[in-house]
Amino acid sequence: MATATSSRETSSQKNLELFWLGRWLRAHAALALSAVLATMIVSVAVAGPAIAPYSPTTPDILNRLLPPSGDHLFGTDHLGRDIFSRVIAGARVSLGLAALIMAIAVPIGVLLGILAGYWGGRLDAWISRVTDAMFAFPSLVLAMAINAALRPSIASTVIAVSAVWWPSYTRLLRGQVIAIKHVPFVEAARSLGASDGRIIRRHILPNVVGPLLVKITNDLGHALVIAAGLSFIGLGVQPPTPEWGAMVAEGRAYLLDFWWYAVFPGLAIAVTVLSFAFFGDAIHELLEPRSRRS
Amino acid sequence: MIARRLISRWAVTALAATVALALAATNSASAPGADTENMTILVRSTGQGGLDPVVQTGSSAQKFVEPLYEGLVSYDSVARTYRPELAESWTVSQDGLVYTFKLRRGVEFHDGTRFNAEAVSVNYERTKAVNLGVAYLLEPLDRVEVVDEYTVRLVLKAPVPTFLFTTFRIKIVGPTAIRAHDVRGDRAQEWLKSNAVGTGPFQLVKWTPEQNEIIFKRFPNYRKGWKGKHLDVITYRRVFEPTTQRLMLERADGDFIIDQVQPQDVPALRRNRNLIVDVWSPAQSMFITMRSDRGPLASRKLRQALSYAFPYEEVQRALGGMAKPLIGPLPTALAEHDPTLAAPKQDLQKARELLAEAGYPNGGLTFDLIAIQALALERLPAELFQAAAAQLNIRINIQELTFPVMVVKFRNENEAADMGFLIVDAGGPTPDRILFEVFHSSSRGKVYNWSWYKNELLDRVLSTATQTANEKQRFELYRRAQRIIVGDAPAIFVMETPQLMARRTWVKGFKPDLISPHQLNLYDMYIEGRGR
Amino acid sequence: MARVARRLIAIVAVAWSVSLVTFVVARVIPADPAQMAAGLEAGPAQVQQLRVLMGLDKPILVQYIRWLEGLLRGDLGTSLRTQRPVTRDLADALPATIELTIAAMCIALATGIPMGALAAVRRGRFADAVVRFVAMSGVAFPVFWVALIAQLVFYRVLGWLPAGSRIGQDVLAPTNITGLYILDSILTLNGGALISALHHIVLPASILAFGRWATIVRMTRVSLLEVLNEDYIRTARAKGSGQKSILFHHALRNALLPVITMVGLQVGYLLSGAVLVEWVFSWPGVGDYAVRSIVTLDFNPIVAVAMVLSLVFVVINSLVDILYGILDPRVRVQPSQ
Repeated sequence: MATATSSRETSSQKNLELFWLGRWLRAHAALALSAVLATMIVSVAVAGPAIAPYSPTTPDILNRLLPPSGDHLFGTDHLGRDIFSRVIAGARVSLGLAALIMAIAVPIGVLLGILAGYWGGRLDAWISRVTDAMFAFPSLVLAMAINAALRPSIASTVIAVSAVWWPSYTRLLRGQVIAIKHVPFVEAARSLGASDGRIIRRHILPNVVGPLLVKITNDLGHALVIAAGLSFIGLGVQPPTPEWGAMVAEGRAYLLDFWWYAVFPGLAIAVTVLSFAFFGDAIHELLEPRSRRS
Repeated sequence: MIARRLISRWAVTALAATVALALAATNSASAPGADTENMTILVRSTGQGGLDPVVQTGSSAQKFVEPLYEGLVSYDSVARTYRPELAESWTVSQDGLVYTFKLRRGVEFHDGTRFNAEAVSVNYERTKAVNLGVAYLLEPLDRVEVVDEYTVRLVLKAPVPTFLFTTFRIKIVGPTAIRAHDVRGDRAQEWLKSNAVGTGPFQLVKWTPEQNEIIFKRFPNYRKGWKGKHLDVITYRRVFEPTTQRLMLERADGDFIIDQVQPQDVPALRRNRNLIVDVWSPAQSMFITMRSDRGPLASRKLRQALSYAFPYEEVQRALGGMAKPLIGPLPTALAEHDPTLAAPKQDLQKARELLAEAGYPNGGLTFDLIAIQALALERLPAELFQAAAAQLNIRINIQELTFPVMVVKFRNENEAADMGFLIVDAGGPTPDRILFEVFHSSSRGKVYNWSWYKNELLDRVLSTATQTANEKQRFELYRRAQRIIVGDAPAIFVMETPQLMARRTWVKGFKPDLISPHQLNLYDMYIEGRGR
Repeated sequence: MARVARRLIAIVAVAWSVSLVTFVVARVIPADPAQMAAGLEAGPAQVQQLRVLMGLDKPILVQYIRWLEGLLRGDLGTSLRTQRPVTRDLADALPATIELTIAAMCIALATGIPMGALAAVRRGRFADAVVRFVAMSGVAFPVFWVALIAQLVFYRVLGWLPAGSRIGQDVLAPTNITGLYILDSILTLNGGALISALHHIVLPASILAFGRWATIVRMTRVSLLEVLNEDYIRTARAKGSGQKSILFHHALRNALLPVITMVGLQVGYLLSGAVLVEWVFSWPGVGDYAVRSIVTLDFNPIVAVAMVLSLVFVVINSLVDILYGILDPRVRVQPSQ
């Protein structure tokens, strides 16, 4: 008798578990999907040309401008190179650019933001002024000018874009730090004699990681688009390096009769940015489920 | 719900707006220019800084200068002979030093003043004074004599067999206008940047850089008159993107594309029954110049190696056979071309051997190659060359700049890059332009010797050639010059640059010029059959 | 009052710093403005003459001071590419960009706000997800790519909209009062020009607006949700639908306040995004002017454009700040919020 009851309990328990699992999955569908997509894209970027079916840089004139087919999923370009392979190889370049830009802009911006927010006073005034000024800068124009002056290349593109990117991080961090600084817990810790470094490490940093992570994920996409925009004008990455924006620029001249050339790299950019953006959004919701922001 | 109401209200407004616009679209999409004698030419740029025929000699300016001005003679590239233009006839003295021109009577400038010998004298003197652009052609000129109102004599210091070419290229500007708009002795250069007073069939109506257009109108008192079918108003519309130009041509928002239809567009344009595509090889050479005075490229063997590495056949194939191979520095359209030269061929094995002989058995070099922005004709060979060189472990960085920026860069001894794309057209039935401007040592830092190449023997051969009256001897000298250049390999002979133009079928009377790619015989052209 | 004064100082400071940085960057550009001004056919002697005339042989500090002097006189130098004073070029280009930006902003707000409202009201449901996805695409699809595709579809395939320029070829631009074609044609009652101008602005403005959807939709949605959850709204909801509609409009108005402040920031992004759209559509605005100048290494316009753009941005932001302060006096506006 006991077994029969327990088995019924177990099965209903299982049903309940499945129900909650399903609910959890549905609720986190966006997170799951975008995480999968983002991971896929990143791994493609990391794997790079190794997984490409053809060489992304060797021309093959006899096969130029072929439409998409079984042999060439995305068709071939004006030099006969397989576009699918170039898109794959381009993942590494485009994402790498975005990542590098983040890697430079974020630490600078975060550092300045913490300095401004925590110590306030004159330091804050100065940093804020510079940040405000930077915000006013027409970033794309400045990035283009820097790139033109420095001879466009991967390095110059990274420098140009990170130079205009860091202010938004300073602003974010400053706001966060100011908000946390006056929380009673932190005030208490300070009155108890905790050192600045300890407070920053223990109280501030853990609390800013969340919003920072969200912003970085979203910004990865934006940085990618900006770098692509620069390459589109011809002031970014140079041939034959496959970069999605540069490929769209190339494809522009062939758009009318050979549509596949510009369409696929553009789609690649869109899909990447979308998946990163949704990923960022999903993290945001995950971290702040209580707020009515969902 | 409220939201639904709001949304639907917006949706309705948006829909209504779209419909209204679509209606407006169909209304204004009527044939442009009700007057069928008007033609719209699509150009990539409206000329860099001016219409002064002395200063502006680049291809971009030639398109705009040609319809406005005339010279003493004109050149018929099909018959290969000079024809009277502002001069009715001419004689040359036995010693080749004195050219006497009998001028046409009854010719008016756009401002109504009369053309006569004084006008010629003023212009030749002005050209020498301004000392820019075509002025170098007047170096052998000693003086200009006005014999009577319609006879003028040009006296040279030494005989120049191709002097008629000079009288073709020096255009005549209205002297009254020159005097009236002289500002602080600049000989009206400033004014002539955006104004024109010539004797040509068309006059300048308006130059509005802010509206991306240059407009020419028929000059009613043009000497040849307007009987028969001709154009009335010509609008040059600036559209930078070649793809947009094509779209506009296809939708009849433009009638003629003259600066380079993209090669990849040619098959589709040819299939379009409303369009005519003109592809021909005027006397235009395309080079990749190589810095011969310093750096690794100072080594002749290295330059020769690169010349063997270049993928000539691939480039031909990529351009669908529209480009002819360039055999030596001169295009075959020129009579002085040396027929004994062989077409260059890619030979990677030979290239490797030469590399090793030059001291780079494993390559390991990096060069910068500059090309004109958004020009598929240069981009394709650049990328193919890049890939071919990669096989020899030589890295080529392609950089794209606009032509004026390139010119500035290559004329500076410290700024000139390792390699650069250069398209030079003969400009007339003479090899002098290409040979002097690209390979003579005096052109370094000026004109187009971007290789900074210097060969004293070549210099002597060229100078002697220009002074040799005997045609056979002259030709032999030019051939010698070509062989020297081929041997030294200061440049890679990429191809004879094709000229690709496309127009609507109703643009009639166009005859491609076999020598000058940018010469449009606008006076003979007309519109017929426009309308839907 | 003090705040306004502080604002003015900030504006001047920003303009000055922008000018300095851009000046330095532009001077580093390895091109010889003297040669370019002299023309392709000029010899070295003429170039040197011109170089001295242009003051390029002086040390960079002197050049900067001279440039500043010219600036205070209202002289921004000459563009080598157009051979005209930069101030004239900008006077022509600025209205074009302003018009495009305003049109894009209008379209973005007119389409984005209802979308955001829809998403807020249908929170958690399918419509919400769709709206957010569509809005996000605006940012994900690179604006230059969208511009190309749109040009292809709407010009070539459908033939509904033109390929570029501000106005039809055979239509005369309206008499110049403000330089904004739409406004001018309304003011001068020029129907033909109005229709043509509208016809030409639709596509580029819509594409620009598309990129702004993400932020506008999100902001509207978020702030509307906040407001909708306030007590007075809930009370009204409980009371019945008549109350509901009145208060919904109140809610919307309150919710729109943060959206308005964001407009100021958006303008900055719009000006940046306009660059690529102007390029694709041959729209003769500041962005197009800037790109062409950069690409031809034309020094004076680059500096001038950077300065003007940042000035416009700062001025608009200041105006928005002041406006916000007036509209909602409860809010204490911090200098960097």
